[in-house]
Amino acid sequence: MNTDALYEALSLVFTFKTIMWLVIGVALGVGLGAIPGLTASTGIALVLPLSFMLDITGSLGLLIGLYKGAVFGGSISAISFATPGSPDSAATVFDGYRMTKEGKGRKAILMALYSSVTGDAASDIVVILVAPTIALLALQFGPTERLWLMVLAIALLGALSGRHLAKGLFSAAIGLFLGTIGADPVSSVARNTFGQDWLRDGIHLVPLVIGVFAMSQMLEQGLELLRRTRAVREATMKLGDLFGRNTEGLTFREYLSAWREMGIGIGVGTFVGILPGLGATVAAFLSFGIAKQLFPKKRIGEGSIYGIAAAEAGNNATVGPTLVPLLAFGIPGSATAALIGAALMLQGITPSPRMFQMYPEVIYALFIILILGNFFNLAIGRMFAFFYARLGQLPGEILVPTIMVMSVIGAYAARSDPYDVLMMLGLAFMGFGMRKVGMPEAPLIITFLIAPLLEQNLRRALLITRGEWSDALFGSPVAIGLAGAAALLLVVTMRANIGGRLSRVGRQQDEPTGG
Amino acid sequence: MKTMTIKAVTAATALFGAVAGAQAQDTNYPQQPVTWVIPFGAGGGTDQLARLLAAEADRIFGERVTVENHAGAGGVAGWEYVLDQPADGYTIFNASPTPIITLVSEENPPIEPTDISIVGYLSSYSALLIGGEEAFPDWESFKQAAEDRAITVGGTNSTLLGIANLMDQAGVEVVFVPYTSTGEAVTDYLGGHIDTVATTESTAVTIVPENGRVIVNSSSRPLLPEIEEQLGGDVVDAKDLGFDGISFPRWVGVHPDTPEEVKARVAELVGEVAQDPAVKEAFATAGSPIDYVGREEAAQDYEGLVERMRSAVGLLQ
Repeated sequence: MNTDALYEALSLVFTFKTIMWLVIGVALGVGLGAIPGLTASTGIALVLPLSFMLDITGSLGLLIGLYKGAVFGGSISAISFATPGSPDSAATVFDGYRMTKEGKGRKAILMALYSSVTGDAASDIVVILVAPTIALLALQFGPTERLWLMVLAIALLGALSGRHLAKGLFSAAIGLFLGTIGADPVSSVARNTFGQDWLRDGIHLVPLVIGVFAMSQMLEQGLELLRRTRAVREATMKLGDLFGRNTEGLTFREYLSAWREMGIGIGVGTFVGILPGLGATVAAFLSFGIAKQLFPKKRIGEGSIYGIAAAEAGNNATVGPTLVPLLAFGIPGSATAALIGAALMLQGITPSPRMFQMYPEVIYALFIILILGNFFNLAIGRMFAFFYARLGQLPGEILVPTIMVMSVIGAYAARSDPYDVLMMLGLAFMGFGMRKVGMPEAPLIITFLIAPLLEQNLRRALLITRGEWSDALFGSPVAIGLAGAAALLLVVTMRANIGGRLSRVGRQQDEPTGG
Repeated sequence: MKTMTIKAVTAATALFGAVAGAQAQDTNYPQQPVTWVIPFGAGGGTDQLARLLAAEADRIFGERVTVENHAGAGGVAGWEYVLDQPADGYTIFNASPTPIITLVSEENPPIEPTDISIVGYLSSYSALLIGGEEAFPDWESFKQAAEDRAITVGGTNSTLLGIANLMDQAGVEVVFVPYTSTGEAVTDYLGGHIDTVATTESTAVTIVPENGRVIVNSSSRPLLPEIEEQLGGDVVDAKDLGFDGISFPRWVGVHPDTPEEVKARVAELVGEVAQDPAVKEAFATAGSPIDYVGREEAAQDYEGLVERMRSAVGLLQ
């Protein structure tokens, strides 16, 4: 280790200015993240000209702080209002919002915060210790291997489908169709656009997530509000209690009890973060799905802190690793990493493998900021969560239309495209219908995310192997291993389903019949 | 007859007055805030550069210049938005080749790529073909290898278009593997999953020399000296090989019906912004040095560019 460079990095980071920009970054990030439609990359793009005026550590503090804060911030509104601030937090809605409705919103937000910070910090340490090694491992994942990783993710659908596999599969089919709308990934020719030019870019994830999760819930609650049922009043009262003195917090024992789920999130998030093109949303759903599959007794997806722990540790664990390809090869693996790379370039530092030799103090400073950012995220996240969740104290008559307006703004803000608002509204009615017939949303979102990636990688693999299917599918030991794992997962899921049904039937037969 | 003459003179005077008035108004351009439209979401390459540019443009325009993102439809939504605005020069369109690629890929495009008046190019990038030093020490060895086996070339749509245009003229057959992001393509190249990768200059300097060399620059435009030096010098380009290459401009245009005087004034101001030392420095440090091309030259190049892209798209599909 270059100790001179480390000392220089420490003296650069521990200055009033750098810490101030880091604090501003985290605060801005949590605030922006909590607003639907404004994601980490939008926030970073907006402050990029400002970062140009700062010195290198101030700039990195602002951008990395904003990134970390925004990934956590999305969970606050996901839990409080079922409106994920960014798609990264969509998987948190399942357990988080249910807990809010049960009056345990405070516990849910604290679990999200602690698991986010834990996942983020642990993955940062992994990055610092073994960045070049894991980057080399990631290089082994070409189109064939990524293809099987996607199949593995889809095999988890069984776990996300709830009790009715058929409804889960139908939801997945809708997601699959929606995911194919837009330009063909290989030839760029528009497909399934019904002749509508505005569909050429496909359906954007932000309006989809806001429509299916937030707006559809608000339609449902709005209708109930019109009927003035007691249920809504109770739910609103519970939202209002979010940070009241009598609400249940999170004990240290409860936090520790989620170590397995956080471990899954850290492992999945770290690896997914390193692979280019996947991102925090995929990591969150994968971690959530694996945890649900592995621990069926914890009732993940039904209002459990363990689902929140897996999803939030999963999405935040991608933050540090996203920077690995940038630091190891100079190649940004995500839009946010590209923006951080751009900020480095604006400071005259071209991200490349030579960075470690040429600017060791900048690399160390970046590592210190990555770690330090977690502490500020914890402190500011707590304050912000408290402040933001107070909005929940508004009565339902104000809350429901407010979230509806937020949803419209959020759908528009992501790309400034008015068609996204129309799409969000259409998807909201679809989500409302799905909820009415008991169809789960998760398979829709996950196939929407995964299917296009699967298709791209399959078609690339076929192009590379000149149409040889066997080589395209089983061209490496890693691919064969992943294919085996996917097959095993499917068998286990099916056996568990059959076993579960048999035991339910058995229980029904054992129960004494009345009369 | 006399009455007619008087009427004609009156009409002519009125018309002259109107034109003169319009000219006086036009030369006063701009008199209100200017909107700088980007057809992509916040955070992309064009958006980053536009924000750096807008930070200095207020001073030069003497009016506020605001960046607006109008994303969607492969960059065409922003273009259509510009065409829906008044043709008064207060809505300026700044794009990369992406919307042109979208339009030339469509059978029935909603607008034509020529539905714009080009006022200048801010910078241009080239598609460079990068491969292993040992496998492809030069262009000739690459051509030979492509005759012996199918060589894979990964890249995004625009960089692959540049390479496809060159390969077509050189009569070399390769397998194009399209990627949605440069990051994915380069990772697959570094992992050995594809033989070569097509990238822009700014990405190439992060790969060369540790992980490969530039086999060919598919554009006819020589690289900027400092970039060529970083890439090991003596980079062969399409012109050296006797071909007509494509380089991809970050172009600026206005509504085609904008009055000539306003177009000229917009071009003049955009040129001033592009030549401004602060903007030049910001673009250079962002990895996309200003390589300004004035209105006439840019407009002439643009016509040829659209045609070359149209035929290259056919090669990729």
